[in-house]
Amino acid sequence: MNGSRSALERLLSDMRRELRPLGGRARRRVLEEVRDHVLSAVEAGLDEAEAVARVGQPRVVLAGLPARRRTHRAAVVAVPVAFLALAAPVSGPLVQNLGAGATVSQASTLGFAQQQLLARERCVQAWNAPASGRWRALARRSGAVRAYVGVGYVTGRGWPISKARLRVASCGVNLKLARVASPYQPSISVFARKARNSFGFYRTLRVHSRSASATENARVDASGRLTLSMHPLPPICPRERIGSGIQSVVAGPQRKVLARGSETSLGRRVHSFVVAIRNDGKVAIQGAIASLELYPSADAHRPSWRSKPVTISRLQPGELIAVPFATPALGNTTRLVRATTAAIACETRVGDNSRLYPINSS
Amino acid sequence: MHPEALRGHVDTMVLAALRSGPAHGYALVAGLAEQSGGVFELGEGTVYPSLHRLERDGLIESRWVKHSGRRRRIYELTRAGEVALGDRQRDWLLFARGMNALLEGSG
Repeated sequence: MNGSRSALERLLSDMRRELRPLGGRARRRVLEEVRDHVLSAVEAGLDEAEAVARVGQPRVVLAGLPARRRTHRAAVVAVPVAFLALAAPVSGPLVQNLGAGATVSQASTLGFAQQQLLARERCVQAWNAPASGRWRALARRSGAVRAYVGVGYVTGRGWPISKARLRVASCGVNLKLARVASPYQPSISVFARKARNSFGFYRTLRVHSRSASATENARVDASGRLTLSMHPLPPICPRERIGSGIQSVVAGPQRKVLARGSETSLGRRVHSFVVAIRNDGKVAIQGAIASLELYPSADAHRPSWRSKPVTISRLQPGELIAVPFATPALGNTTRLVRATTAAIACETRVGDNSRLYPINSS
Repeated sequence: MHPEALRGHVDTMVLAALRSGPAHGYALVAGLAEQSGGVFELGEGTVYPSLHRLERDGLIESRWVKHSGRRRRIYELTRAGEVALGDRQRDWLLFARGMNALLEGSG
């Protein structure tokens, strides 16, 4: 360990900077609340880095706060669903891609949540319409059985967004392809833009995204048609909770256990890790993967190195398994290690299946 | 459930969670996760914007208290918040009934 700042201090420092547009009093209040939130989580048994990670990005917190001395630029919400961020260009003072959208005609009379769901339904109707036969053929060819349907839209200047008038601008269908033994699962995004009172699908993008958590909200049938189901997992998955969790990560021949709440000092030459994984669910896992990533900065954005996924063929409930990884020597630039595990076919994330460990190898 | 799917529902969820009594931010998030059987996993930072919005709209009120040597903000439902929650609950049930009928009909 060293004397550098804790994860909480780093978060508060980032937030202090990001929340500057809020003004002094409101900013101090948010900071004090977030500090209490993280400390409460630590008191409840979480380690600090995990508690901080759960708070999320400061800019997302800022985006949701009531507008006061805020610029329009600051009001644009970050888009976790990457495929929607690439949707058709839209006009209007603000762009909101929220993974679900709104219908134009009912925007002024329905609540925000209802508008989102109805717009998603309209996107599905467009997909199932005769004009989209080409895209359904793509779904058939790719063998997709699940999909995520999202809608992007623009808002006027009203704030909060729940009171703003909405206008649909685009939608997208993210076809989930067959699962592979990797923490990054393949999918095809098909984008649509507004055409009269419906949507017109017009282009695709193949993507790989981290998919330990389920993000499907529609079924794709044998003809390629979509049905909104909100079922997060394919029907072959057991009803019981299923998933694998990271128990610990041990570095190098010195067998130094990485801490999650504070930086662990490691030698520059360390080039091996052992990850302990446990079946945290109630049924045997028939195939899981494990991977390790090294990051040059504390925000876990782009790894400097990523292992090939290791496949675990079978893991009984409660069983613990050790998976070794050989990495490049850490050098003096590695700041974070991430260990990930996921059941290949079904995963309901019953335990921590992606853990971050701050390290200092300088 | 993916946090994205929860967007737009957070204010209602927060109001519902406060119906059982005053709570601070962390207790509220933990309560939501527990009461929903782990289905609702919020990005925890998103609960604060929601709390601030609801307070600005007069649906909840808050006060500082001392806890373990630090200040903690406690939130509580107002009378207007109870009424708003009732309205939202009725809207939701109506919507869910319509959507269920639609999905069952198309299935």
